[in-house]
Amino acid sequence: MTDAHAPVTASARIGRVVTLLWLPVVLLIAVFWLTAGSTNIYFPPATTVVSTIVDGFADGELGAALGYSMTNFALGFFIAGIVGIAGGLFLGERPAIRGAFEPMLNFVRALPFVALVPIFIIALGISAAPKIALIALGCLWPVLLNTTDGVRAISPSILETSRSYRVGSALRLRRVTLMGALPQIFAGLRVALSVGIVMVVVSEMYGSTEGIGYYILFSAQRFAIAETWAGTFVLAAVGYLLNVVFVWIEHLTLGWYERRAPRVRGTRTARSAQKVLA
Amino acid sequence: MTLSVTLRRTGEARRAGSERSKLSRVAAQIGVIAGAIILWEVIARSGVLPASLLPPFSEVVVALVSLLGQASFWGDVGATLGGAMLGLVTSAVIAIPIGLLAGLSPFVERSTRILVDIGRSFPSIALLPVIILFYGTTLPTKLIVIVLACSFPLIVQTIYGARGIEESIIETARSYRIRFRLYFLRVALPTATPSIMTGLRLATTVAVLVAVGAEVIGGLPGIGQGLAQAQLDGASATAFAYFVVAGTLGFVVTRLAELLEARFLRWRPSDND
Amino acid sequence: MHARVRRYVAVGAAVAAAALALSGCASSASGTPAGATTATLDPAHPVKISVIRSAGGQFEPLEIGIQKGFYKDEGLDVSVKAGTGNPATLAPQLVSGQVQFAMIDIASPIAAVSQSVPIKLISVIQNDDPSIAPSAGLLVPPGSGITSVADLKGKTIATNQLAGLPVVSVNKALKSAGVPLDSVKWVQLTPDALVDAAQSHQADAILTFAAFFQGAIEKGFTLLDGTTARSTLPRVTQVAWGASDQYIAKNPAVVAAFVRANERAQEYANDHPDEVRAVDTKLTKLPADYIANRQIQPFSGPFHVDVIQQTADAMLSQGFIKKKVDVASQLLWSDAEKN
Repeated sequence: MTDAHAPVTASARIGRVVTLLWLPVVLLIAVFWLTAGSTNIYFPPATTVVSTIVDGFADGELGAALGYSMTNFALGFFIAGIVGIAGGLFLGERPAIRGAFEPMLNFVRALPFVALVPIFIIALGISAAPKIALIALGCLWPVLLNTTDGVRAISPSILETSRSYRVGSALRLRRVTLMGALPQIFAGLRVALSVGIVMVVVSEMYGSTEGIGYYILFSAQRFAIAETWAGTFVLAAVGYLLNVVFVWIEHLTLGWYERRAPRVRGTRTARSAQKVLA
Repeated sequence: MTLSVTLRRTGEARRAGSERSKLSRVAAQIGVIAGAIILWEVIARSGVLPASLLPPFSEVVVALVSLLGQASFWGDVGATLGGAMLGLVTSAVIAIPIGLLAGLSPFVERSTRILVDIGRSFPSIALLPVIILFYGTTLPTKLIVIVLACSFPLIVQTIYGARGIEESIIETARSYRIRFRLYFLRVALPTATPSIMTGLRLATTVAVLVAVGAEVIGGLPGIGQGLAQAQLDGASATAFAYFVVAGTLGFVVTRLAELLEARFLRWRPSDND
Repeated sequence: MHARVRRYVAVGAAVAAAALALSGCASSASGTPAGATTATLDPAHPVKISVIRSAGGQFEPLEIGIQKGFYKDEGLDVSVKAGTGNPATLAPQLVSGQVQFAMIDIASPIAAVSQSVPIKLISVIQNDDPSIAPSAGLLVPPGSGITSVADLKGKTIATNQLAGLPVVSVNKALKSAGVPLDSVKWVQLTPDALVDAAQSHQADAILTFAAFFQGAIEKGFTLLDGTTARSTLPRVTQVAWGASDQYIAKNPAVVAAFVRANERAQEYANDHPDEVRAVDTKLTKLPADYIANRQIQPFSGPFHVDVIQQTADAMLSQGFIKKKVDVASQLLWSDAEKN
């Protein structure tokens, strides 16, 4: 818990890496060992899946599929991020409007957008557009709701102080509101990351001729089990890598925030910053 | 005496004021919903989208009413709700002990960190094609996907809760040499409970969403399957009725979870400001 | 070895499996398999079997047979589950023993068998009969400039099942017309969205079936000649009964009894089309005028091995499967009626 205060010797660092890695490595070896020589059609040997992945990248099929899907993902995520943060900043400071929209928003976020795929395709065409729209729609809610919560959680005294010092509203928005809600915004974006990966698959169920989701679904239709596993693992790996990169960005950005925030031991604000950094 | 009268009057005024603002808030909420419905009806009837794809709200209401009278519909609702709840309970049983263990022991937390991170970013719905190949379109398939989707966020929330114990409390417990079992039951668990309740609330929404998603994609029995079947039959108003029902179900379940969570959070120390 | 893998993966679903048993959703057969030596089953002690019927039509003989007791006469107690329209889920359910027989198309078992999934087709439900008007095929919207197969080059075709027989058939036609297969874009949509896709010019042509096909024709769509299975794979099997290798090996008497009861029901259905239509009205959501006027494909017939082999070969050359399938030995039941 108080890692930051412990002295970081070389051996301590190595010890930390070992602790992080031993369980995943053991499980990985176990999976390879248990499935070696498996004749079960649904669980091919892990080595077969790996070679399928390698082949898939070698002949460019998986690479192209990933490229297509991840481009859509990036665009959809970006749109959802902008709209979600802007909307959250707006709603967070206006309890009246927020209260009015609350039941509606909570209802919409529970809707199964997967059922809207055909409608999106007819409306937006058989192209990347409906997929980007669907990804954006799925990613929007965690960002919007978390940003709103983040703004609400800023202690009113900080807002009042900035108001009494007559900080202009644009500056206040950037320096106070946005920065104050930033940890929660990052939490929301992180959830949106996971949701977005799922929407990649969902959006490629229909009206698609390429993409990693299409690859997974179409392989399953043809009983190409090794390819189905291969596609699923590649997608999961990409999702994990995105997560790791995101946490690193979070560290960099919020490290600045942590240094600035009042270091009052035991208060919720400092602790929530710690939680996010850990 | 005047003081108590003044206080009583102020209290009443405040209560009356808050009742008034509550009424206006509900009115605003109804206004927003009504506006959305009107927008839907206008767009549907304008012909921008073909009628078979976006039926007007009025037609959807008619279809919904007729659904409510069918036994198969309620069976579907039961299948979705039952599957979601069963999946939620299962993932709670798995996730909370792991989360508590990881929250209390830094070694366990570090050992499982990578696995939890992989798990929480894993698109469990993407596993659906594979799981269906193995288990077919039955309950275990739905449960596996729901458990996978709900467990990891729940583990993360539980770890937050278990780790968030104030250092002063830990030091006090240690200096009094309180036995671990007592510490666990009286200190760790109660401190972690609010975060766990938050996690359960989040997991509830996920469980219903994933259940319906799995039903639509995998053809598992439930509301999602009713939706997909209606689409196959070309009955788009019925399909939309199912769509609305799915949203309503998720909304209701989330509200219930929020109320439950609020009860647990009542004694939580408020943010100091 | 693979049993251990299964257990490892299923450990998370162990609770789920218990819940499944409790909720009684399982529909696996509880009857004891009949001995291999007895040729017929005992109607007094019927064997319980669970079958999956297709989502749309073609299951009418099954229902008629159950109503008239043909299956009971053969010592079978049949419970019917409706399918979801996704053929890829049928083979796994057969193999895992959740159901004993399933109505299945021709393309997905070929794909399954090419990946060594242990299933076989035991009897024909419907072959494509050239004398009946087509109820499925490639349609072009009114005002489309496409008049021949060659015009499909560079176009987008929407369908509801990407790995199915109609697609294989169209690809075959494209090949014969010299159109490179990768110049055509295939897109999967839900069946109700197909007509809209063509009308809003998202797709240049659509592959559709049954009531959707009829509805499109009424909206002015025209069938493109030479693309249906009739031209490319005549007399191919459209729907058949499938079962797992394991079940066939352990219960040959049940399989034989089931096939006999099917034959009887299907012959009856052929002679009584009104009863077929009555089943449609009762159990499907097909529109009433479609039910009244559609031409019913005759049921039964042998597996035409040569055509099915051509289908499998076409699937291989089109990239749907990666390994060659020998239909007679790998796909069909040894005692199935074939020619």
